[in-house]
Formats: sequence, structure tokens, C-alpha cells
Amino acid sequence: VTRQSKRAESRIADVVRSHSGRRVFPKSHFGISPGREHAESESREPRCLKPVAGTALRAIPRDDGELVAKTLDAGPGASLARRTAMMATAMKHWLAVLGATTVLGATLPASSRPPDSATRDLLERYDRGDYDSVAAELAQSPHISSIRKDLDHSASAWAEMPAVGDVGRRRVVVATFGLEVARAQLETEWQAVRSLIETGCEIVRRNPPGLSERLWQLASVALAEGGMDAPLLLTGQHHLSHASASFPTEPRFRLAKIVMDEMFIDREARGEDLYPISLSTRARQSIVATSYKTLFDVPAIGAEAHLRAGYLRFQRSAADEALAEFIKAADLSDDPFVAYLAQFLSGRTLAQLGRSAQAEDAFRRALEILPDTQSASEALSAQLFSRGLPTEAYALVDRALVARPHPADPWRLYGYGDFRMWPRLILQLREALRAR
Amino acid sequence: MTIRHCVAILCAIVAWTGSARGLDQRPVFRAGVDSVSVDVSVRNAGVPVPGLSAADFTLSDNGMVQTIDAIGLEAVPVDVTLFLDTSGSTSGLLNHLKVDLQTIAGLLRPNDRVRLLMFGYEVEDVFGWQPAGGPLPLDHVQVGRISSVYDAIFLALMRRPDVDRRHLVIALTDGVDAGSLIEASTLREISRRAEAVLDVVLLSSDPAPQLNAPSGWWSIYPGAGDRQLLIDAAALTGGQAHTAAFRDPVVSAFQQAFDDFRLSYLLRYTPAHVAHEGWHDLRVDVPGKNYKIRARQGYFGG
Repeated sequence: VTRQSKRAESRIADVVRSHSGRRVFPKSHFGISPGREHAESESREPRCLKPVAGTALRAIPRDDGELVAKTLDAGPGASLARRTAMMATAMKHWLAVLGATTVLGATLPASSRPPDSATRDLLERYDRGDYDSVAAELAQSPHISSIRKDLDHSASAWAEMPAVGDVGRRRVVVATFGLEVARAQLETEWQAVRSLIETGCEIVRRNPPGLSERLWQLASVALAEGGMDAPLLLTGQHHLSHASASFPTEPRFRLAKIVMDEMFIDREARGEDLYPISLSTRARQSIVATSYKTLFDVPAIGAEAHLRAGYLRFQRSAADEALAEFIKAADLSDDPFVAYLAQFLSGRTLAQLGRSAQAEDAFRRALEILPDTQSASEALSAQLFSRGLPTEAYALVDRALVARPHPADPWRLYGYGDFRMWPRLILQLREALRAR
Repeated sequence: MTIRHCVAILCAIVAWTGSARGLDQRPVFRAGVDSVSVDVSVRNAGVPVPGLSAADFTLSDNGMVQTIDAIGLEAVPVDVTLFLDTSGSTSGLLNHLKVDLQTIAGLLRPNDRVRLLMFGYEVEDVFGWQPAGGPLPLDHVQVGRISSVYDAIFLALMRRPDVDRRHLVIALTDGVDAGSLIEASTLREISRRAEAVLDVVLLSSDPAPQLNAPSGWWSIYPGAGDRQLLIDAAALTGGQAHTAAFRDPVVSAFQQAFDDFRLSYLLRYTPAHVAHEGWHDLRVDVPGKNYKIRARQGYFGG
């Protein structure tokens, strides 16, 4: 009975997590290779997301007895009667699932069972401040998927365990451990690990806002930006809105929202259904540019807002306006990321205008800020090679390929917003936990 | 300076000349100010033509016919740059490609070297130049966050071959570029002037990419999937394009490219009657024969 009950709990958790279908298009679908089929899959959405309007969830038993969740589209074109019928069907299935669970004696939600021993061991070492080695183990662990699944179900139970230390601290510890697990799998299993962020957010928000809670939200948003996660950052009751609600004066959350709007312009143009109203690329660019303007005078993020507004101008071939924004960004910022990109993008703009000598100077200034960075090395190398100066061009590329400078190339991280800050934020968060 | 000094210097020069002549028995190939080397593939009905001598070729540099000093085949060590497209669109192939890469490394000769470029958050040189023979450290090869195929090929080509070595770039890619800094026209221009030979193995599209990976932020612009550009780029370097169907081992395509390169002739000459500096147009031919000849189209002097 216990095994059956756990299985039923697991099914419910799966159903809850899977309540929204989402189409994911591979690169080959973006209209560039006629004849290629696009893959369509249903991916798991964070558990605290509400179903979007006009959709209904249906738990469908498969032939093998497993329950699967399926989103039924009852979009704007569907009749009221059809939508009502679909909601009723979904409700009926939910009641059936809940009834079965109750009969089997499963009274606890899936997220409240304690972690397995391997996860618990890592979690407790993390709790004791063994941050670096636990993070390193997670990055190398062949069992990372099991740990992630276990944590997904047990984080809350571990945090709320009665009479074991400061529950407020334990909440942030387990949520931070979740971020470490998510980071370890960001590049390979993002669709699976993203739920750890939402689970962690739910747990952290039980605490009153404080230093470690703020750092946790900054780090988690940075990670979500690294995952380019539209559901976490843009839609409905998304994670970013939770972070903003908890820390309404935090400027980086204001910036993050607009950065993601900027980055999703292309995805919207490729047909992804990200916004309630679809707009042309140009219209969306105008909206985003206007949004950046509202941040120009915010000291912590004004320079970056100028930089990003400039890049939008560059994309629209408004070279003079773009250059003006890059100059402002360079003047205002002492952040190497912004300063580098202001020079690098100036170089690209000047190259586009055919002002090669000035473009080379700009690329060289970028490389003075972050030596051997690949993007400026490559751009400068191409200019030099075209001018018949191969020796320096070769040397630039040689150094750029070998150097692996830190921080990583700002141009390649440009679209991932504050993800570039993840290494610093997680260190600060660990320190805050150590001091708490 | 006394007569004795003059005689001593003269003897030294004679001795050095003698030793240099001895060294000349072993061809030294280097593209530089004084000598230029050119890889030349000669095929007849698709089959490499063996046994040609310097006298069989004509070579002109900026329109001036040159004397070929030396000709080499096979023995010259090869530096192979493998570029593996680890972008999301080829992610379903990744494990197969890793196995293929190990097999490919085993096909190289003891004096050859190999390096691997792939996508991470930028174009990464995974382990630097490795001598052939050992297994390649591929544990950390995973799906990258960029898909800048043109950038990767540009970075691979931008290298002057070491003394006594030749440089072959083999790109394993589906040809779908996204977010490259290098534009199509620039890639053509760079390929025309590169000192390496580029072969492209065009992988067929992957029907099942790993959808669990996060997406990248790149823009995809019109023409980004233009495979013809890569085919043209390869031809401009004197290389060629091959195809590999989905999940077919790419080993045979590599073998073909490598054998073709290995069995190509390496002509060396010292430019005469042309200015050293600037761009030099090259023309290579085997007069009187209807062979298919591939060679790079020129080089930078000075």
C-alpha cells in the first residue's frame, strides 16, 4: 500500500508539474531549412505557475496505467460550451486522481517527504558550510538527476523539519542548494531543473525579506536568465514577478524584465507564442527601447540600459543613435562588462559604416578592458586580415583561443542578462548563509 | 679584415652551404617571405594521381610563371583542426560524434597533431594541439550555447602553419549558422586567403535535438542555413565538402578528406619577378592533362 501510495503521489506531482504544454522548436524549424520537420514536445512547467487563460489540464490514463497530463487548447476561438466541457472533464479526472490517492492513504503532498540519504548527506554538508566541495561534487556527480528529482520532492520537508535549528535559515539553505543543483544541470537539463527555482522561490518567500532572501532572488533570476526561460521570466505568475514583489525597489529585476523582452523578440518573430498580443519585430523593439529609456537615470543600471538601447538601435541600422548610446554607456559605467561591450559594439557599428580605422581602434579599446576576449579579437582579426595584415590577425586568434579569459566573453553572455553575475551572486549568498 | 679572416669566413660559408644542401634532401616547406608552399590535389576521375614530379606542374604567381623548387607527398606531417558543431541542432548526434572523433584520432599518423574546436559559451579549443595516437579527452564535450558556425570556421582557418607542417581544417556541422560575427561575404574572403585547407562534412539535420537544453539568444538571419556558402568556402581553400546522413558515422567522410589531403602534392617555390608584399594570385595546372586540380587561390606576401 505504501509503494502504491508513493506512486500515486508521484503521479500527482507529475501531473501538477506538467500542467502546461509548451512547444519547443529546434533551430532547424526556424524557416531556414525547408522541408525539415519541427519537433514538438511537452515540457514540464514550474509547479506554482497557474494555467494560462483558455487552457485546461487533463489527466489521462495511459495503456500501462500511468497518468499523463495533457494541456487542451481552448483558445480564443473555442466556444464557451467547449471550454466548459473541457474544464469539466479536467475536473473529473482530477477528482478521480485525488480520490484514488485518498483511498490509498496518501495524505501528504509529494513535496513534503524527506530527502533520500544521498541528497540529505549533501544537503546537510551544505548546511554546515561545505559549499565549495558540495558544489564541485554536484557539478561532477553522475547521480545529479536523482538528486534533483529527490530534492524537487523533499526540499520543503527538509526546510520545515520541526525543532532543527533556525527554520528561516534552513529555507534559504535548501533553496540555495536547489540553485546549485540547477546550475550543475543548466546546460543539459534545463527543462527539468527550472522547477527547482520555482520550488525554492516558494520556500524562500515564507521568510520576511532580508539580505540572504534578496541575494537568493537575485541569484535565481540570474540563473533563469541563463536558461532563457520564458515561462519563469515572462508569463503569468512568473518567478521574476515574485522576486520583484518581494524586493520592489531592486533595480536589477526591472532591468531583467526588459532584457528578457529584448531577447525574446527573435523568438516571437520565429513564431513562439510568448505574449498575449503578437507584435512585429519593429514594434516590439520600439517598446523595449522605450522601456530602457525609463532606466537611464537609475544609477545602478543606467549605463547598461544605454548599452542595450544602443544595441537595439544598431540592429535597426540607426548607427549614429547607436554610437551615441554606446558613448553614454562607456562614460557612465565602471563595470567591465558594460565598458567592453560599449567599445565592442561601437566597433561593429563603425565597421558597418565602413569606418574601418575607427572600428579597429574601438576593438583595441575593448581588448584593453578585457584582453584576449574572443569577440573583439575575432572582429579585429577579420578587419586586419582584410587589410592584408595577417600576422597580427593570426596572433590575435591564437591568443583568444588559448586564453580562456575570465570573466567569459561579454558578447556571448549579452543575451543572458544577469547570468554573468551568477558566480559572484552565489558566492555572496554562501557568505550570507555562513553569517546567518 | 685580414686575408686570413676572409679565408676563414669563406670556408665557413662553403661549409654552411654544403650542410644546407644536405638539408635540402629533406624538403622544408614553409609559406613565408622567401618560399611559398601550396597544397595541390590532383585527381583523375575522382582518384588521386600519383607519381607527378615538379616538371609536370606549372605554377604562376600574380601571372608570373615560377620555378618549383621541391615537391612533397604524404611525408609532411599534418595538423588537423577538427571543428565539431555542438550546437543544439546537432545535439542528438553528440554521443555518436564523440565515438567517431576517437576513431578519427586513431586514423592520424604518429607525426600528425590534432586539436578540437567546439561550441561552449564561445568557440572553445578543447585540449590544444595533441599528438596523434592517444585517446582524445572528450568527457566535457557537451551541447554548446552558441551556434556560430562561421565564427568557428574563421577561427580555425586563422592560423599560419608551423614550419614543416600542413594545416587541414575539417568542420563537422549541419551548416546552420546563428549569431556569427563573421558575415558570409567575410567568410568567403577569408577562405580565399587562408593558408589552411578546409574540408566540410555536412551532417544532415537532426530530427531529435535535445530539447532539455536551454535555448540560446542568437538571432537567425536570412541565409543562415546556406550550406552552399560552406561548400564554396571549402572550395576556395582548395578543399571540398562531404555529406554524412543522420547518425551515419562521419569517420568515412573524414577518412576521405584526410586521405585526399595526405595524397595531395605540396609544391614549394621561391617567388620571382613579383613584389613580396600584398596579395598574390596563384594558378596551378598540369598541362596537357584533363585532371581536376584543387589548390588555394593565393596568399599574402610580405
